[in-house]
Amino acid sequence: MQYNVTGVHQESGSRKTGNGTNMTESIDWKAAWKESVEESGRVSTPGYWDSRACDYAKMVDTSDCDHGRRILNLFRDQKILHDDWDVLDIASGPGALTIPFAERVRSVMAIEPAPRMAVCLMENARRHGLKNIGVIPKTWQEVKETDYEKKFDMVTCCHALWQFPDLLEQVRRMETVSRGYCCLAHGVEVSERELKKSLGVPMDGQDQFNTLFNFLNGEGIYPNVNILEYSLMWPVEAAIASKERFVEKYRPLTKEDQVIIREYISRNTTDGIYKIPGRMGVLWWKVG
Amino acid sequence: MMAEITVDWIKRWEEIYDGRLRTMQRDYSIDDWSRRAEDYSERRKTNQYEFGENVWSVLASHGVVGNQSRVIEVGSGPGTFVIPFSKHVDHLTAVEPAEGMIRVIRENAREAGIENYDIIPKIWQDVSIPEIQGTYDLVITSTVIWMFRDIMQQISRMEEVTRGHCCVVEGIDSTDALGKKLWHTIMGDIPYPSYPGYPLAYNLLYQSGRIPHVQIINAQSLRTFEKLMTMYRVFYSLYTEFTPKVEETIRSALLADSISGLHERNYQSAVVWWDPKERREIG
Repeated sequence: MQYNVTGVHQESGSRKTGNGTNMTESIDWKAAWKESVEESGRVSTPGYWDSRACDYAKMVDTSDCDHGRRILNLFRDQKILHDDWDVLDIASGPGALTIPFAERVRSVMAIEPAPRMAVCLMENARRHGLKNIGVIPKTWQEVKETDYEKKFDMVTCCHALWQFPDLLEQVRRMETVSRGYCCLAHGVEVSERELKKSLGVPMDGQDQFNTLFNFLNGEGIYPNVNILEYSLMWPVEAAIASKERFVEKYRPLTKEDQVIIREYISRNTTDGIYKIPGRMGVLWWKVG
Repeated sequence: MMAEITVDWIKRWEEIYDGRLRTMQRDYSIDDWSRRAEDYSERRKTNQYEFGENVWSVLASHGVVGNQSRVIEVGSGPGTFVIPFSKHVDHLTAVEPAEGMIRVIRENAREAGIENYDIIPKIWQDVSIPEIQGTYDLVITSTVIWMFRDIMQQISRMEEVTRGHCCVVEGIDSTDALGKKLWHTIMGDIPYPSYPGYPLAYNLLYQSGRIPHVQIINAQSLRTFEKLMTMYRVFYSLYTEFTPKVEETIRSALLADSISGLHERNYQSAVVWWDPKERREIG
C-alpha cells in the first residue's frame, strides 16, 4: 500500500491553504504505522524473543549495553538526568537500557514478558551488582497504567515499538505513568541489507521511523529528535543463532540459509566479534 | 506486505508555496520587510532576546557552536541571531537585504555593544557562494525558508558555505487563536494561508538523506499595540484592500486582547540542525 501525494489520503492538489505550517495532516499516519508494524508484531511474539534471549543477552553484554548507554549519555549531556530518577523501561530485554540507567538512577522497573529475557536481565543485574531493578513479567498492554500513575521520571521504550499497532493509545498510557519524560527509540536504517536480500527476508523497519515521527507530530506530540550512532557487537555463535532465529520468524531454516548466514558473518567478523553499526532515532519529550 | 510511504515532500513544499501566492494580491517585497523592521525587532527582543538565547543554548549544548565559531545568518531581519549569538562567537555575518532591517540590526548591535559582525545586504539567492564557500562553522536561519520555492537548491547552497552544521528554526502551529479569528472576520471563507515550515522541513531533509536533529523550544513575545498594528497592516495589505473597516476590526480585536497595554504570545519553535557531511542510507 502506498500513501502518495496524489492518492486518496491527500487533499486535492489544487488546495490553496492549510492549517498552519503542518501540511502532513492529510496523510493517515495512524493507518500507515499500524500497517507497517503488523507483520513485525505478528512474527515477533514473546515466544520468539524467549528463543532469542540467550543470543541477544550475549550481544548486549559484549556491546556493554552500547545503545542504552548512548541514550543515557544524551540525557546526561542535556542535563536532565538526575540520580533520584525512577525509570520505567518497557520491553527491557536483557537490560541494554535498564542496566546503564540503573547504574545512575534510584530505580528502574523493567517490563519484560519473555521469561528467559527476564532471567537474563536479573543475571545481568547481579553481575553488575545492581539491586535497584524490578521486573513486571507482562507486556506493556497488560500493565494497568492507573496503578502507576505519575510514578516514573522517565519512561523508555527502545527498539520495541513494532509491538504497538495502536501506538498512540500506548504512548498516552506511557504519558499517564510519567511525571517527567517519555522516550521512544527506533532504528532509522535497515541493518544487514545485503544479508536480508540474500536470504529473501523482509527489510524490517524501513520508513518506520519517519512514520513514527509524523504520526506523533500529527497528534500534537512534538518530540525532540536525536539520531544516535551505536554498535551492536555479537560473539560469532550468538550472531549466527540470532540470524537463524530471524529467518525462522518467516519460514523454516534451510541448509542454504545456514551457509549464507555463516559466510556473511564470517566476512564481517573481526577478532571473533561480529559488529553491526547502526543509527537510532531517539524521540523524547517532557510530559505536560 | 510492509507499507511504503512515498510522499514527495519537495512537491508538497512547492504546492504550499504556490497556494500561498494564489491567495495573495501580491507577494512580499523587500520594502514590506523594511516596514516590518521595528515591530519584528520588538518581537525578537522580548525577554532580552529569549528566543535567540534559547536557540543558542540548544546548539551549544550539542556542541554545534562555541566561542571560536564563525556563523552566517540567512535573512537576519532585525538581528534575530546577530545580537544573541555575537556575544558568544568569534564572528557573525548577517545576510539581510531590507534597508529598514539593516538599520535596526545596527541600532540593536550598538545598544548591545556588539561589533564582531558584518552584513551582506542581499537576498540569499544573490549571495555568491564560491566567495564564502566553507568559511563558516554554522549557517542558521529562522522563519525565512518559506520564501524559497526551490527549497533544496537553497538548502544545498547553505550547506556549501559551512564546514560545520546547518540549522533552521521554524515555528510550530504558530498561528494563534486571535490571528485565525481575525482572518475569518476579515477574509470570510478564504482559508488561512499556509507557510511551509515544521515538520515539513524535517521531512524534506530526512527524505534527502540528511540526519537532522530537533529540539523544541518555548519562547514568549511581548508586543505593543502600535507595533502589532504595523504587523497586521503589512500582512493584510498583501491579501486584501486595507480599508478603514479592516483597520478598525483589527484595532478592536487587539484592544480586547491587551494585558496592561501589551500583547503576550507564547509559542513553540523547532530547532532543526544537521551536519551536511553526514548522510544516511536511503532506499
